[in-house]
Amino acid sequence: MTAMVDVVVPSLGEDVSTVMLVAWLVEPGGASVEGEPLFEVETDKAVFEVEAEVTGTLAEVLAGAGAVVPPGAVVGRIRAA
Amino acid sequence: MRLVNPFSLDEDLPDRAEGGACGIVRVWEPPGAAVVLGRSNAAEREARPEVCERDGVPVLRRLGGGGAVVLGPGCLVVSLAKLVEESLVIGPYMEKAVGILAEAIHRVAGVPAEPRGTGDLCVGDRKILGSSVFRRRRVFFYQASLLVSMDLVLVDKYLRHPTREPEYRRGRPHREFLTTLRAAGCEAPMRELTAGIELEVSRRLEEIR
Repeated sequence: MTAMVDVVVPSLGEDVSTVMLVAWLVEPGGASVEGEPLFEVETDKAVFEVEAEVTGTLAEVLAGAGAVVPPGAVVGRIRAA
Repeated sequence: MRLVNPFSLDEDLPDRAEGGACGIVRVWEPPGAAVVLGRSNAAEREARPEVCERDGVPVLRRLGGGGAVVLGPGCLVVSLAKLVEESLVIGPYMEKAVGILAEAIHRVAGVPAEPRGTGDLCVGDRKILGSSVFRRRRVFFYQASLLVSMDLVLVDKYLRHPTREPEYRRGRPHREFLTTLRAAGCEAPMRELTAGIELEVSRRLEEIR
C-alpha cells in the first residue's frame, strides 16, 4: 500500500502571512520527483518555486492557481512511489 | 562584446547561477519601450494592452513577482543571480540587494536614495527604483528597474493605476509617484552609470550569501 503525503506551503518568513498559488508545475496525475519544482507561490514582490518533498504521483490538487493560502496550508497530495 | 537579447529579461541567469556560475550581475538600458508584468499580473487590469498594441509596445511577463513596469530608454535594468545558503528566505536577501544598490547609486550618481515599502528606493517620497524576486531553493534572482531619465509620461500612457500599492504612495498617479535620477540632479552619462553600478554591485555580490 502506498502512502499519501500532504503537499504543504512552506513558511517564507515571519512577515509572510499569506501567499498566492501562481501555478502547478506538474499536472494532476503527473510524476512528482523529490527535489524537483512542483508549484510556485507569490508574496508581495517575490515568486518562490517550491520543490516536491517526495517522489510519486500528484494525486490531488486542493488549491488551484490564484488561491490565496497561509503557510502550512495543504494544497495537494502526492501518492508516494 | 556581450550579446544579450534585451527582452529575454535575463531569464537565463537563474539556470546559470544554479549551474555553478559564481554570481552574475547585468545592468542594461532597454533599446525601446516595453511593458513588463509581474508574474501573476493580469495584463488588462494593470496595463493598457490596446494602447501598447497601437504603439507596437510589447507586453512581457517576468519570472518574479511585483507590479507592472514600463521599461525603455532612460531606465536601467539591474539583474543579479546568486547561489545562497538559506532556502526559504526572501526578505533579508532582497533588503541586502536593495541596500547595495542604494549605496551604488549614491556613489556613482551622487543621489541619496532611501528604501521605502518593499524593495523600493525613493528620493524623498518619490520612487526611482522597484524590485522583483524569483527564488529557487538555492538561487536568489533579483531584478530592479532604475529610472534615470525615462519619460515618465510613458508610464501613465501604458499602465493603469496598480491594483496594489504601498502605503506611502497614497493613491498618487504614476507621474506624481515616480521620479528620475536626472530630476534629482544626477548629470552622469548613461554609460558611466551603467558601468559604475554594475561594478559596484559585482564588487559586493559575495555579501549576498
